[in-house]
Amino acid sequence: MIKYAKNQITFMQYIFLIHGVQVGVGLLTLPRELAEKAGTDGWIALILGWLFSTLGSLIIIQVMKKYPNGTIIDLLTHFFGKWVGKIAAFIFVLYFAFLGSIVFVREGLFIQFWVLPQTNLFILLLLLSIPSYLIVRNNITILGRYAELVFFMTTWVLFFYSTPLKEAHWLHLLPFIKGGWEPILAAAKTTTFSFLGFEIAFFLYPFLQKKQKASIGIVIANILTLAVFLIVTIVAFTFYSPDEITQYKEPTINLLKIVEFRFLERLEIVFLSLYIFVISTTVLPLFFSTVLSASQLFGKQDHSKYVVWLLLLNLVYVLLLPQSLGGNRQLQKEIESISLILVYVFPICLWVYLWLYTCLKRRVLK
Amino acid sequence: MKRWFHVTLLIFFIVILSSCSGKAPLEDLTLAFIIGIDLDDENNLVFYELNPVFGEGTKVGIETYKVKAKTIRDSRRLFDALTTGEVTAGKIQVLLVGKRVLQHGDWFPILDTVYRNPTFSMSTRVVTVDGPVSEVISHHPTEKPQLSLHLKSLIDKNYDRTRAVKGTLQELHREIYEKGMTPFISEVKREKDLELSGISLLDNKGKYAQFLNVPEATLLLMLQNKKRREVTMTIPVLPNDGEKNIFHKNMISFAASKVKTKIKSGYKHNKFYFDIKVKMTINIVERLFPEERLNKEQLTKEVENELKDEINDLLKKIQKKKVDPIGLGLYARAYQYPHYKKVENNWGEAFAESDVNVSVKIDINSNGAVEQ
Amino acid sequence: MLFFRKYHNKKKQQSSFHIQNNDLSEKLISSQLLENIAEIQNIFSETPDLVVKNIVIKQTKCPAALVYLSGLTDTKTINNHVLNPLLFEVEKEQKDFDAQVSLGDVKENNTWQKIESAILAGNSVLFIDKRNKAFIFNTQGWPQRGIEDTTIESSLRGEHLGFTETGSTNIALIRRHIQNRELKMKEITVGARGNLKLTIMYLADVAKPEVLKELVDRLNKIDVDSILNAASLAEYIEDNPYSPFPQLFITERPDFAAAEILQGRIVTVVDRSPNVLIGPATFEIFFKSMDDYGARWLVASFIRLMRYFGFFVAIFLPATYIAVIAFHFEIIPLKLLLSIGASRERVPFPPFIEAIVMEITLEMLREAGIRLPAKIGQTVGIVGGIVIGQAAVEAGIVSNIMVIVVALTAIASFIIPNYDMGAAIRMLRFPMMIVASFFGFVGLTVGLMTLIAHFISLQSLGTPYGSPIAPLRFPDWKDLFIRFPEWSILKRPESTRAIQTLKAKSNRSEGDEH
Repeated sequence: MIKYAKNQITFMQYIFLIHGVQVGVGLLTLPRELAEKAGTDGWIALILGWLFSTLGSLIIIQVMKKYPNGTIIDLLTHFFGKWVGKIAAFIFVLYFAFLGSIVFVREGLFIQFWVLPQTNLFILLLLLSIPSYLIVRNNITILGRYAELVFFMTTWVLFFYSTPLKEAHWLHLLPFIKGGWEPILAAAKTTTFSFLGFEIAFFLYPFLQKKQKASIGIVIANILTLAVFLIVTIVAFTFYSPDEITQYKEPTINLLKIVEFRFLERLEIVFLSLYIFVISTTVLPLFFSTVLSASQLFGKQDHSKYVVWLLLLNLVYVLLLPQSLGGNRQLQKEIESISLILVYVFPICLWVYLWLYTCLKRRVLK
Repeated sequence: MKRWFHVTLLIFFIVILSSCSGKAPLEDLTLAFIIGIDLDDENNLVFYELNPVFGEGTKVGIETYKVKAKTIRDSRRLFDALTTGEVTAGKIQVLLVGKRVLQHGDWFPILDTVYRNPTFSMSTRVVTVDGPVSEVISHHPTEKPQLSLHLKSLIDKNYDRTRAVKGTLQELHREIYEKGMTPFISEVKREKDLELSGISLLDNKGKYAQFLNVPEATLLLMLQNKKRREVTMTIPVLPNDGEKNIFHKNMISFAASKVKTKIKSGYKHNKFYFDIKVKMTINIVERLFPEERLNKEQLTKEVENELKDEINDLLKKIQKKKVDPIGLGLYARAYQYPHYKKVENNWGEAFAESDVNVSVKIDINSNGAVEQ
Repeated sequence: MLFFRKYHNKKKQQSSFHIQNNDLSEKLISSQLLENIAEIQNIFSETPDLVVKNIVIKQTKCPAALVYLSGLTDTKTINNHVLNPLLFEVEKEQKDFDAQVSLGDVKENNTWQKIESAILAGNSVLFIDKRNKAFIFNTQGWPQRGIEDTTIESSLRGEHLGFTETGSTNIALIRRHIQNRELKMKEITVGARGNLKLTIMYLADVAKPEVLKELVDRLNKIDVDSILNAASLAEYIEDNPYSPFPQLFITERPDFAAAEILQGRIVTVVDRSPNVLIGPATFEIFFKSMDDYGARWLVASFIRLMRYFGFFVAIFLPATYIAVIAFHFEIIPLKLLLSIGASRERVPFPPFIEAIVMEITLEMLREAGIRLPAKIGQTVGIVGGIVIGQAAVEAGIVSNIMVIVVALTAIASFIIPNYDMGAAIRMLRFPMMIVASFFGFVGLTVGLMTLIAHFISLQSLGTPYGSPIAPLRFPDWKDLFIRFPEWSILKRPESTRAIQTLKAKSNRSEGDEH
């Protein structure tokens, strides 16, 4: 068993790790996806999605509290035995590996499309693999520091959105709830997926220094994520006409095309290059969870070897199968339903079970 | 073993990295600064391109090319055959569109590649040319800065003075797709010199609908709440004293430091109505008649009436052409959504039928430094 | 890397590389003077600078021999304070001590090993007939220079005394700043042939014991012939030998060393080296200079910020130039683009080659300037200025903009107060230029990401190197980018892992109000 007490993450690192996983590649297309479903009322759906994700996060923390010194896999092993633990580890390896790889490949595809159209996707991913390896092979403390640093390095990019905000047409947002609640609920489904990523708490919890702050931390992370999503979405909704916004594949990037300074134009190129950092805070914790689960599955202490294998698998996958943004999106849609089970259904069931279990045990003891 | 693995990996990286090549550097490119689209006499599409030529030292010359092609992308092939470097679109400053192109309703899809291709800049100014594009693009007076710079700053300066619109590709795209308003872009023409003549209004397909001169353009921008810096206007407030008076002693000029337009929308008797309230704080900067002829209250009244009349004229003009550059449709959508939804696709006509009430309120803030 | 390791292993196997054939470790001196002299001459065979002076002590009438190495001892001390009393003075009362000299530092010993090293260290040894112990007199005195102003880390307001090549002087220079009994020292000798004396200085109630233990363990592990200076000692004990960043702070300033001891760091004084090692080092201390505390805090903060800005400029400016020219010319505003385009028009090379040529020229000029005597150095500067500044541009080999970029980079890298960090930064810009030439901004980002990945996992003596930036420790930011007024910094930085955090009480008067 891995000693979690040795590598700890601080409260802030915990927040930024969760927030980092939530804000990733999805932000680029989010305004369009919301507009497609709910028009300019999409932002209400964001708040709904945030409510769901906060509830889900709190349930996960409640579950993890039952066995505070281990990851979800240790917890399952503790309550259900070794084999359930192994199976869970296997499932988590697959889940996180797929999720991580999809985002990783999408990152490459975005860069290729917007910044370096002449460069081979394989080479781009190979390039991105170098820092990924250097970070993921370390322990969680390093990852926590990375998430923290990147948050402070990249958040100021949001200020660039004040330029499109100057040409905002707030009338676009009116009237509220123009098409009834139905489209908003449909969009809430999309936003629920945008907030995915807090399931990383399954693996972060044992590393947290002050466990009593786990719930408040995850709520803060969700609020931060909501804030980022809301800012970008509202800027996009007010800047673009509601009839126009669905024309753009990635409105978040397009918004920056109009930002000009005296010394710098075409900010979207700079932005996308910086955005690699933001996406990396999604990919790297996912990869870390993958290799952590893998090391638990095989009962090894050192996970750095699995990082190499994971990255190599990704590269081989990209080399063998042609990639496209559409195909990538399709894959993500498919994994989203699994996410829903893993992130909402599974913890709730587990929670109810553990609750009954402890109740019964107490009664038996009495 | 592990070390060997690392070394192999490193060599592998180096080999792969060194095999990939970058883009052509700046000096091997031909940067298109202006693109022009026009129709020739037989209605063939003609494309113009202007690019800088870097010479000895810091001197920069320019050259222009003209080709006949089917699309913008297709024209690049032909430009490439003419220029030294690869023609690139990343730095297009101005897109000139001939009035003859705009008179055909379905011209907008020509610009598809501009939006589809991420290398294009979205802040390229789109400008109508009254007359052949070739006349503007071949206008290179030696005493003026380079045409692309000149044209761009011409538009930007007038935009700052609330006399023209930037009309960037981004704005044009928005206005074309937005159902509640119609597009408008700045218009230039060349007589002896290149001059900004006003604004061209397009209908919601992009077809040329109406021309507005500069004072009208200012009014339009004021109605849109798009005042930038101080707006200066010169209007008559008294009847002209007679034909022989060569000095227009009835004129007054003022600078509006504050312009606030409030629009209220409603729906009555199966049509929309709009209440437009313009509130201005003005400083008088020029008055050619003595104070006795009009006291402050009268003057306020006169200016208000004059402005109101001008705005009403403007509204009539655009309603006649069934275009809505003000974007009243946005107000209709925001406050009268169910009614708007019905006429959404025909907003121009619904707007033409709607009632628009204009009221202007003036607050004279100062009379300038002269005591009179 | 593989080859080095193999070589290293081989070296370890023949671990007896420095033990001499004549093993002295257990041998004691005899009570016969003649035997001892014979042994000495045996040990120091073929040593012409060995002096064996046979005397008869006047007090006791005993034959004796004074042995020393002539270059390493102070002749005056030996004549006046050793030989003179022994040969001429008679005192009535003291009978129990038969080697009466007027010296403070006198030791007695009877092992040959100690005697040998004492002689080698510049002491003189007195053998007396019929005694099985020898006296060791501290008569060290070798050619040394006086204390001079610091040369590399010069400062305006700081102390103008630099460390010298004598360890004891250096210790004294530090001790003058910290007159406290908690200032403890540990002595470690390193190097079988060099016998380098290291003195670890720390505040016992402030420095973290784990860090101290880590340092001592690492120093004890060193098993080499000799170490000639502080920098090579640092190489033996740093955490990551492959890192471009210096992980121990090497300084020639006693005030800086004392300041860091007070912060909770540990200073290793290296005898015979005019520098001391400070550890655990964090990234930020390489951006501090003593002058920051000699100037008013606003001024100091401004300079600090410029240094950090310079850090990024020095690493990324040439790479950004390459990336922009070769990939993303779109981001340059029109007017600037026109002037860059015009100046690049005649350049026959791609931007990468252009930049590499200029950067390497600059590096060579810099290196040439350092090693040459000052008079020739000036010529190098003039030649370099003409070559870089004018001829190359006029010949159309490089563009004006490139010259500006190179000059800015150079200035930015020289603004870093620490030489090692400055050198590291200058080196780092080359890999950045390479990735930028392949991938533009994306390459730059990945380069930065790799740098960050390395930066956040680097440690110095088991302490996070990136602190207080990563891990984030906001209380330490009071003395990071902005130097807050001295009276507002009440705590020692967390980055040093000091066990006693409070260092001051807020007792500033309230200013104008009273």
